[in-house]
Amino acid sequence: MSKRILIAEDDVFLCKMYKLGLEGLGYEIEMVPNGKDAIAAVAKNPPDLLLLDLLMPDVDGFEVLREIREKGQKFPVIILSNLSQEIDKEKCRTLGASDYFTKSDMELDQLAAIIKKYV
Amino acid sequence: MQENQSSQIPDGLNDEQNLGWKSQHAAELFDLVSRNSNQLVYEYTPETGRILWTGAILEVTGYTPDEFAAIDINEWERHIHPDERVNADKALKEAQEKRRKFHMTYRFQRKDGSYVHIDDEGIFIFSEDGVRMVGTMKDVSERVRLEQEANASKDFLSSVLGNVTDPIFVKDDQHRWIMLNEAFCTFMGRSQEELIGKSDYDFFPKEQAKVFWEKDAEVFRTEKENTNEELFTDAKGVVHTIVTKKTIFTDSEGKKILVGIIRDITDRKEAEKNLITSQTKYKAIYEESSDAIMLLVPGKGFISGNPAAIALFGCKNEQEFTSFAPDQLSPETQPDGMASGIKSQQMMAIAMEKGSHLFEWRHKRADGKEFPAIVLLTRIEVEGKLILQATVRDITENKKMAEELAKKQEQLRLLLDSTAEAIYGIDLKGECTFCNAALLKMMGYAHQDELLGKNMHAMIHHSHADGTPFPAEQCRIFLAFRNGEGTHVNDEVLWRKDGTSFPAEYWSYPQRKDGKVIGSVVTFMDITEREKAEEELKRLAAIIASSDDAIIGKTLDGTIVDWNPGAEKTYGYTAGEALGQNITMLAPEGRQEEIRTLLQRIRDGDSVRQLETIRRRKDGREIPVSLSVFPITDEEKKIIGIATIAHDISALKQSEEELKNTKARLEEEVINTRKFLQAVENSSIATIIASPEPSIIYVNPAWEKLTGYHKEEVIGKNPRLLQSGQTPKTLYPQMWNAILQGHEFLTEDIINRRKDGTEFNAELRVYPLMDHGTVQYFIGMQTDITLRKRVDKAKSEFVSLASHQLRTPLTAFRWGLGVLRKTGPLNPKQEEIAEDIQKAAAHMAESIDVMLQLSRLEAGKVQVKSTSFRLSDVINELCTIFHPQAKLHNHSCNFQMDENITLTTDSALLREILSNLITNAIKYSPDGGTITLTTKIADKSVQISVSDTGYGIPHDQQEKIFSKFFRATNVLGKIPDGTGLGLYLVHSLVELLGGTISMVSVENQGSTFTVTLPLSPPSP
Repeated sequence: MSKRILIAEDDVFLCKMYKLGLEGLGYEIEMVPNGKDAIAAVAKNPPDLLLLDLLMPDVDGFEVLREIREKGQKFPVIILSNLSQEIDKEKCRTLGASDYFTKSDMELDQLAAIIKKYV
Repeated sequence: MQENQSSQIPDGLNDEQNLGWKSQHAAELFDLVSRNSNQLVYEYTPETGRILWTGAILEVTGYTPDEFAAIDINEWERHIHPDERVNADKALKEAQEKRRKFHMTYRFQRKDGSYVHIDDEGIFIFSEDGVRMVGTMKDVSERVRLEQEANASKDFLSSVLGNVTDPIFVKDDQHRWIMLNEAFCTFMGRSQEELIGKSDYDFFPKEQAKVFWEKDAEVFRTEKENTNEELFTDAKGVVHTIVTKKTIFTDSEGKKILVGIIRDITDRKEAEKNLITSQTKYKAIYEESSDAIMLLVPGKGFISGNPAAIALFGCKNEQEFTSFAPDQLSPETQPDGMASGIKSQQMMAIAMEKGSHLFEWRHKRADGKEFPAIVLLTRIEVEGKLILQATVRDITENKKMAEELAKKQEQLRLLLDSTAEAIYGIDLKGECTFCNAALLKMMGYAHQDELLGKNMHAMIHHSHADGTPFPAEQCRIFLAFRNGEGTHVNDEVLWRKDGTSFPAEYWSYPQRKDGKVIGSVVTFMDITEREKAEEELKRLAAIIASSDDAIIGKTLDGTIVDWNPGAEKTYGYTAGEALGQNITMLAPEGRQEEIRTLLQRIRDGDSVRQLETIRRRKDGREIPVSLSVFPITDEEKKIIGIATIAHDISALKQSEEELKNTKARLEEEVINTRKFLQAVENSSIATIIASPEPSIIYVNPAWEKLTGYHKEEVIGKNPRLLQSGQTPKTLYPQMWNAILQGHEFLTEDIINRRKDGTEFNAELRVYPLMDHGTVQYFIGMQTDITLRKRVDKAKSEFVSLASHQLRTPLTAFRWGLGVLRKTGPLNPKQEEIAEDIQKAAAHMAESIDVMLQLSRLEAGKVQVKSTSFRLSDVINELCTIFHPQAKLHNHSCNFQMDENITLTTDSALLREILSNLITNAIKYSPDGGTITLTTKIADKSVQISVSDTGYGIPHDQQEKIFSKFFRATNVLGKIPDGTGLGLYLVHSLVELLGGTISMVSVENQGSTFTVTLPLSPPSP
């Protein structure tokens, strides 16, 4: 049974790239365009790993992360954001993020390797 | 005095005779005292205005008694000096009206037009006969002059000479008098002033002057003492016989001077002459005498009688007179009952035996009428035979004489008592015969009986000033008796009854009777006041000598005659140099005229006070002086000299100058303050000044506008009233800490509240005004930055948002390219395009990162988080990161580091700083270069240097390298992907960490950037 990866990303183009990059690696991928949907998706069916963007409309990534961890869900959450400041990284670590990467430093190949580490 | 005079009254007189003698004696005494005191005695009847004059009329007034008899009250007033006339008239009227004593000293014009000082004292007597005034006018010129002299003269020699009774003069080799004594002046009848500098030719007839001159010349030539007897006609035309002893002395300057001492021997000459002419004279007296004189041969009768005798006895001629026997010219018995014949025999016998005999006798005229007489029988020798001369005086007028006596005595008493001078008489034994009221008062006695008959020397003259006994034998008054001379003493003291003493000046005049000295009249006065005046003079002289002010005496033409030490100090000339010079020598160039004008003003009677001008010292220096110039006048207010008091006001001038400068400075400060105040008042920056308490002492209009508070509401309040509670709590302690230590404090984090409750963000700059280490005031300047804060926030949010919105598509580019390459190999052309897109995206991403960082930095959002760490850890990390990149360009990396350096700062920011520098080093060096990193500890700091062997920076652009968007021109074409923000960011970060950055670069050789950071952050 293939692993389920939930990706929360509001940018349509990037969503396409994630799909293209992770395609063929044997994962079941579900995409949500905002935090609200992400929370709903997790509640409905918790994934094996969550790729979480921080800056999203409505409910942002920080809020999503907090709710997941507050509900006691332990699946890995990897933050992939444009926010590069230490303060944001620190905040996410505190909230229980598994890892934190800035999109500008990340290549899709690298991402695949990282995901592989967690699932 | 009546009783005590009795000792001098010849014995054997009855009361009537006694009265007669006393009357005569009183008149003589009266006259003697008057004359000796140089007194006129007057009796003035206000009703008629007539005045009867007696006494020393000629001596005092120069008029003969006959001439002076015409002087009535109007004439008297006319003779008084015009300046004193009105006062004299007034005083006289007042004295009469108020029945007071009249006493005044005034100047009285002598016949020759000169003035003498008269001391006039008189009292009004109110009797049944009407009002009359009796008084004395005394010539006190001498006294006044002496007093003036005492006040003015420094020449003590002349006062020594003045006490010598013989006239003494000193002549220079030009025969001019240069020094004289008083006696000489009296002798000449001239004042000293008239005589000094003149010679005999100025006062004597040519012939006589020539005689004197030649004799002087002879003495000068031979230098031998010479005594001449000369005839000399005085000012009054009286011929004197004088003996002049002349001696030559050489004075201190080597000049010959002639000293002459004159003795008037007229009287002696006269006596000799009289002897020769005595017979003739006797005859004349005999013939012309008003007394009856007759010659009587005892036992025979009268042998002759003079016309007065013939008339007295009522005879027709001498023949008839000699026909009477002596007893025929007397009644049968004398008043004592004795028969005239017997008694006359006795009287004649006594006279023959004793030589003379005075007795009273009752005579009978030829017509049988009897009359009382005084008879003096004198034994004389005529042609070898002894006969008697009888002088008979009819004393029928006795009663009148008694009255006369009473009147004279009354006058004398009044005279003696009205004079201010103490007067007493002594007999040969030195016992008091009379004394006046002034003496009693002065000496502290209540009544003259306390002194009459007492030895006056023992009473009032017993001791010297120092209290040692003064034997009577040494007393000059007594000494004077022996020589029959008067004396004048002014250096002794007299003693009062209460044992106190006072300095006195006294004169004694021998009192003669019939050519014999019978006593002395002594007058004296208390000269305490005069001595005080002399003391005053000495003190004045001392003041002048010790004054720092220049005190200069000048003649009317400006010749210097007095020059005190103050003048020497002020002007630099010694007295020897200055005396005799003209005062214009002190004038600086071009000021001679000023001095001449000044002198003329003074000559015109003006005086000048505190004139500020310039004078030149001996050394040529010109000094500012304050001058007071005034005329010196004599008694008659005539200007005789000019005095100047000059005060050196250099110091004053200097301080005035300083004062002026200070004033100018203060004015400038006031102007500056005003300007400053204006600037502050008009400033748009809200400004507040507070005292350290703190309480507000000033706010400007901008502050009022900003806060909504009115000035009056906040003065004296604590500036805290603006606090909103929104400002970070730690900020105020930081602020106080800084400003109390004298540092300026700047913050943008204040949130204040206006009066209306609204809040605003303020940028506050506070700085203390220090004085000697203490805070005097705080100045706070704040601007409302609410809008700016809002804009900043908006900008920062915008940049952040924009960055993310830009980054997302960039990520899409990269990832898209990655996906594209995975779809299959691209042809070379496609691969090249893909490569360009990738680079452009990477450059853009870098730019966005830097801008983002800068925007955060500028917005103050970058917080420094200091931790302690080993520097080598950070550098090793960077080495790992950059090694691959360097290798790509064939650069060799040479990172040397001290393993032991630990520093405390924000490691992330330090990493960013060094990353930028290393990136630059790699980027701006041609392939195959060397990148070197070194560390060094230097004085609590660490220096980290990053060097390359690259293109370097052109020299003329080096100073701009840390500014925003700078890119060196030499690399623009070679390295297209620079942002121009990297070094600006590095510079800002280094400053944020409290460090500095410097650079050394040579074009085409390379650059070295050195960052210096404190080992630990500076304490706030």
